[in-house]
Amino acid sequence: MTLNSLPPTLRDKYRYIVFRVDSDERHSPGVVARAFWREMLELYGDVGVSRHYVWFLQKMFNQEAMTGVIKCDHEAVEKVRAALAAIPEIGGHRVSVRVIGVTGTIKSAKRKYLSLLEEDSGREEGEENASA
Amino acid sequence: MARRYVDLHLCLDVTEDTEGVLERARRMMERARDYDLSIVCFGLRVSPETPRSQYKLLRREILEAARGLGDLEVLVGAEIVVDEPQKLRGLVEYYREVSDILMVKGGDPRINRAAVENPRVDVLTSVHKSEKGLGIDHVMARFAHARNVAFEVPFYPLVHTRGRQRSIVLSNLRRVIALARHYGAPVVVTSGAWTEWDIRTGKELASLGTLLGMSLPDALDSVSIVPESIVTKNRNATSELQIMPGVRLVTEHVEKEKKDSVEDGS
Repeated sequence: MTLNSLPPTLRDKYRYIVFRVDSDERHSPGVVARAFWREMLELYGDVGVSRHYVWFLQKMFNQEAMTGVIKCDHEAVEKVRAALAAIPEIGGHRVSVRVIGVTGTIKSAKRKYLSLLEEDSGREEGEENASA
Repeated sequence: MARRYVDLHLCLDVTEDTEGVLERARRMMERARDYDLSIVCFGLRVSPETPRSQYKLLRREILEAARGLGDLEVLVGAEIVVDEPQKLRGLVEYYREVSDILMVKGGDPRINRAAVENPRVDVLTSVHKSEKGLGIDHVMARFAHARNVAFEVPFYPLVHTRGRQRSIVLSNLRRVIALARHYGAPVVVTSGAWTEWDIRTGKELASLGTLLGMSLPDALDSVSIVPESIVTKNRNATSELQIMPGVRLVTEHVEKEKKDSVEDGS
């Protein structure tokens, strides 16, 4: 039996939070995801996190630009933002995580933020290679 | 119009090695500029024993280093640390004249009370650090409203404490915000940063406010409009146009009247 898709008014309203990790080191998606989940669970607890329908999209994490995307309920954006900002260190290195933008679809997250950031990081690397 | 975000409290200790403190201040200013903050204020920790010349020297050096930073406006204030409320008055009188923002490190209820009763104080910091529960009561919140002394809500403990200690800090901050809201006392959310890694953007700071029971517009105001009004108030107080407290020469009106009279005459 196939399930019918829910009518639009009953569907969950998600937001996609695009963030960047500022650090002296580059970290793998798994390490960043673990730090994020630890912070969320410490700050809000199991029940609190379960209310926000949070998901860390590991496949979308770009290790070059150190940017990633987190999916969450539309009412939990500020809570996820606070948890990201509260991460003190990843893999023993001090970090500061900032939200670059919030969108309603993955497509617009890619179009508005991720494509620009990838271009920027590519350009910076090119400049570094040229100067070397 | 886009909001101008203000971080009113970046911490520096005057008694540390000057070169080291300056280097850290430079890195913090660069990070603040990258994070689109419009105004930052360094709170130099001073106590009755701190040499006043050392404070003045560091203040001058920081303002000198801040010149090449473009749009970022850098202010230097003093954060007074005392163990007895009697010592506060003299220090407030002195540092008021030589600082852009005057903060008092609270915690002890007697010091909190002395600070909120003094209208020359701008911000009461570390309110949540009382040894016996919350360090303020409704009387202090009423004074803070009447004297326009803001309570600081720092982001620093959210990053650097864990477990039970963090839950106690967050509970205390939540109570501070609730009392301030009830009596209309100003609240400023700051980073309370000691290094560049503790600096956060305006929206990230506001998210702490929402976590502690503020509405999103109020939380955004506490990192933009409220601290900026404190900066403007102090700037007007030291301006040449200030005739006496509460009386200021408004030049725009004078110029407009002059212009009107010239037009009428012609």
